[in-house]
Amino acid sequence: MSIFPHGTTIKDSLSIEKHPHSGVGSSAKKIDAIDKLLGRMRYTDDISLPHMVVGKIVRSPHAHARIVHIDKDSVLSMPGVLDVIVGADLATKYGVIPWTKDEYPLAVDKARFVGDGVAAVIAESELAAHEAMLKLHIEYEILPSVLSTDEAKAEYAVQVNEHAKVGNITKHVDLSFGDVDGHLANSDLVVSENFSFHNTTHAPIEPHCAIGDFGTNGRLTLYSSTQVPHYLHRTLTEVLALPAHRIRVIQPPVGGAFGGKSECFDLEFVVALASMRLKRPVKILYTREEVFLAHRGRHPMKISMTMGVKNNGEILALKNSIDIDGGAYASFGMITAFYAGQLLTGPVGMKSYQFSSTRYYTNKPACGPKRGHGSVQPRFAFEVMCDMMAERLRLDPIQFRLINAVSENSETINGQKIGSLGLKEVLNQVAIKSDWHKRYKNLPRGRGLGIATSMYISGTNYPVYPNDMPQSSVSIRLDRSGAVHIFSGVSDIGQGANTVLRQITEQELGIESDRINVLTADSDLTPVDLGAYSSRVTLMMGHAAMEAARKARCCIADAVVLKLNQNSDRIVESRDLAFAGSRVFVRENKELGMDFNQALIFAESMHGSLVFSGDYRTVERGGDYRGGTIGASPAYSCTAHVADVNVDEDTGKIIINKIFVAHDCGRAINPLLVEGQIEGSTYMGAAEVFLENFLTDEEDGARRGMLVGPSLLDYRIPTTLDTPLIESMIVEIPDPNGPYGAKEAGEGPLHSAIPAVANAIYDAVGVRLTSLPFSPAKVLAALKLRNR
Amino acid sequence: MLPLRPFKLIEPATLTELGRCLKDANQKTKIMAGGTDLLPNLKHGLYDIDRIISLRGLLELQKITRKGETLSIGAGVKLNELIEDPMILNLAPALSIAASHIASPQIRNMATVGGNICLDTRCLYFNQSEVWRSALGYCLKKDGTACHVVKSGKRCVAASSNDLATMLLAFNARLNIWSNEGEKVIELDNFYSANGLKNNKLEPHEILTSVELELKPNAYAAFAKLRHRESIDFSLLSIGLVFFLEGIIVTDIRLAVNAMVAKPKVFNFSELIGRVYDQHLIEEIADQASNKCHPQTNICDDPEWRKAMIKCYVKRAFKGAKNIE
Repeated sequence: MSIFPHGTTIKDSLSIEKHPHSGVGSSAKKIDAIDKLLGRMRYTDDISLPHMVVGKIVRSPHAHARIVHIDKDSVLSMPGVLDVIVGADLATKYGVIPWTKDEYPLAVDKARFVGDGVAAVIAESELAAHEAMLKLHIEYEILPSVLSTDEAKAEYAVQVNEHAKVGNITKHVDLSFGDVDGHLANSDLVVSENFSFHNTTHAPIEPHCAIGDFGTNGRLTLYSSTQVPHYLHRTLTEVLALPAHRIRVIQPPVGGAFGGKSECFDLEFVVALASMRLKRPVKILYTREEVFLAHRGRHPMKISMTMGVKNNGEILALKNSIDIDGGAYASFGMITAFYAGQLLTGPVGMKSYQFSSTRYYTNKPACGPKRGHGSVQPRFAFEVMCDMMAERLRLDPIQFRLINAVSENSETINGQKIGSLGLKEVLNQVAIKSDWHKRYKNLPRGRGLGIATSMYISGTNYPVYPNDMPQSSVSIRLDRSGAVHIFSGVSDIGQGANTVLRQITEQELGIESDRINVLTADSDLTPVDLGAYSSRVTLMMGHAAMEAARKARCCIADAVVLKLNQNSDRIVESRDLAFAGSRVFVRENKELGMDFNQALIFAESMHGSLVFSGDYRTVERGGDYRGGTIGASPAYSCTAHVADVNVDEDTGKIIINKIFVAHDCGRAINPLLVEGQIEGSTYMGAAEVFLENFLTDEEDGARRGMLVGPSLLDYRIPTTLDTPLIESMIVEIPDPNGPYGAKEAGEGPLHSAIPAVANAIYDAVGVRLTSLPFSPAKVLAALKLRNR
Repeated sequence: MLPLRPFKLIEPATLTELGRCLKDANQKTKIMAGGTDLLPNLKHGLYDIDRIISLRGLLELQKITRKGETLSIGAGVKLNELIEDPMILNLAPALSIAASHIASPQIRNMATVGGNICLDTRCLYFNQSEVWRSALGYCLKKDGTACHVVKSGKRCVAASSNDLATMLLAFNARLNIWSNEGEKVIELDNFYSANGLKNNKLEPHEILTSVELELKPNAYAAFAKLRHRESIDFSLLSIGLVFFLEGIIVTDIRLAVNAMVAKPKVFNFSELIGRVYDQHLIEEIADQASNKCHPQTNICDDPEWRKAMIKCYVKRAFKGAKNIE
């Protein structure tokens, strides 16, 4: 726990004075909203540097193939072609997780999926680069491939990635908490079921883009549409063997990421090296097809679950066995293997729990962290299982969950320390709004209601690479102009991090937004933040911002006190001061004080330049067992969804009429943004139920391993017309570990949307669907089976 | 991003000017109406061309007129203009409905009636980037020798995917074709072929100027489209239905089923004419249509399900059919 200036602690922030129009709790519009609306926002691809040239990456047409020869000469004489880069030019393995460095920027010896980058051509124009990309002659020796976890298990002779110690296994995790077998034996009812979750991808509207600019001063500037500029910085250093102090990473505004840009990609290394070789700026913008190939999306999982319950509804035991289809590289997969089990022990708990999860390498685009990393898939299985159990026990599904609720300020069966957890409150909200108790099981045939709940982390206690430095730092610089500049390495990827920074500063210094300038994600100017992933930003960055602002406030207060005491016979102390309305004044005597500008002048006179910084670091790391740190978070959010669904029994089509969602985010620093995150998450989850499906062709021959329709026509994300009505409710149960009590809101509200729809389908037509996605053909087949 | 290769753009303002341009039109010339399909296809490298003749400047192709019982729709009429045209809404609302099911509002501001009638066939293995198609080893329709839909198939089965054509076929429309040699009329029924490489009879030196249909009394019409999303998607199946009743007796039926193979299927059900219009008849028609249609894997969804959906959507078309009078 950080100690703030004047002995204040984070707990003081839990009960704050809210102002409707500024500061914490106000629905301020995003800093960049108007620029985005007007098309004035400058994304990476909008940056054009003098003498800039363009690169294209040549990708493998085979699912698994040894690279025999790359004939550079086949393109070097083409008009406009400047350079060809191959794997050997960048032959250092990297990986976002330090223990699984298993990929090269460009394949060195063999390509591991259709679309694996093998070479890059750099040319004067995009068209010249495109033509050369099509012409570059590469000779391959085709190798046998594996495209599923079943094949990965069976075909031990085929090794997708040599990083695997055994067969094609990226990571295997076995953990057990409590006497599972004993509890199963004592259960009144034991049910087992198999579930499967398909492959889905993020589909951000902005394709990945990067520009490398190696200057005459020997410094590299790298612009990238990334959500982890700090990891990019570290990895560039490793791969390019260029000291970190000679690399500047800038993350321009990002047009969507959702986890799909949370590690490094081939284009970032290629533009960097090409710029170093050509001494010219180099840009690569992915095509839409390449965005699909970059992937790092939702892992397909096959889940076998067994649950044992008492007749009173108490869950005694849960067994969970998961096969995870990882694709060609590890990505965050080591974490995925843990998350698939570790994040399932709340908000509905159990007396004993055991899971075994295995992530396999396959010859497909690598999977990674898509919004709700690793835990969306088992959450689907678990919440459907809860619905099945409630049905068998003749309990209302809400009651079933409340019987097993993890209580606040407790510890889950696997040692996760829970602070606030508003399960009862979120369930109550969705039940009231959906008229649950009247409508559940009472709607006409073809229409149904379903409920599900979930819990999610607000960042992880353990950083991705082990170190004792802060996870997030924020600097604040104030001066005689009255301006307040906030600097942070944080990534605003559309979620509103910059706006949250501003609101916290407004709150702490009692000033208006127009004097606050937020500058983020430029490694030369801003202190480190680890990035926009794991729903860590608001909690960690918010904490650092609060600390930085409080240090500034403390310093300003000292100067103001000195000044006020000169002219007054009454001694004022800094704790008597209030900061509000862009004034600093004595709380009990509002006339006694000065405006904020004047205060800054006195502070600068007294202390010199006004620069302060705040940090966030976690002290506690997590459960006291191997793997206990993974999934351990400072705070956990809680969500409930009720879906109102129609099933068209003639076509098998699912129509989601409405989704009610309540989310406990601890404290909504900006309710409008929280609502946006709840809606966006719910939308994304609903889309995975009935539309989105990332398909790989398994037909033998040339088609093997190719993506089926890698375009936004064939990978169908819902249009506005396909999006259900969403009614969002914010529940605020402040958590003592969050700034102002805040917890996450960006990923949690995705999870239970999916099982809520599955459970609603059961209520509507009595069909229990356990294999996603619920395509009309599949639903129709299930309805036919039911009728038999 | 996918770059566009350079080409010469010619924009005639009159038919006379167009005539001059068409004189040396060849296989490397493409006629462009709205361009909403042509330009993405060019970015995918689907056509080897050096010249585009844009019809956008030809104002005489952009009119909707009625002469007696003949309704004439210019090929250059934008889909959104067709959708909102009071005469169409009044006399052939099913056409307006069909057009409103095409693409998205923004695309319909550019896309035209003629462009939709002459739309190139589509296939999961054709409408992809050059990189993707080269990894596949190309296909019958472009640069290759193998069909990936029908194994060892020698004829391209790319799907005609034009929803307006489905409805116009049901209306038994005819097309006016213009070239330097003069004008000619061709029945829409005779316009399409089963060849997915090029499924219509328009020659490189010809353009479509308008489509005409006869307004007849006692007509009922409906359009139905199977798709996953309520906008943007191409059809998984489209149904156009026009039938005529005298009292409760069916006097004529035209049912078009599209988005399966290269040629839309048109049914007349001559053996059912004179029957009483009731649920039995509808079931019979739906069964026959479904049995005689064979959806392929050229579109990314289960062909068996799509076949079953023909029955379902034909019934829905009958249920939704509106009397035009």
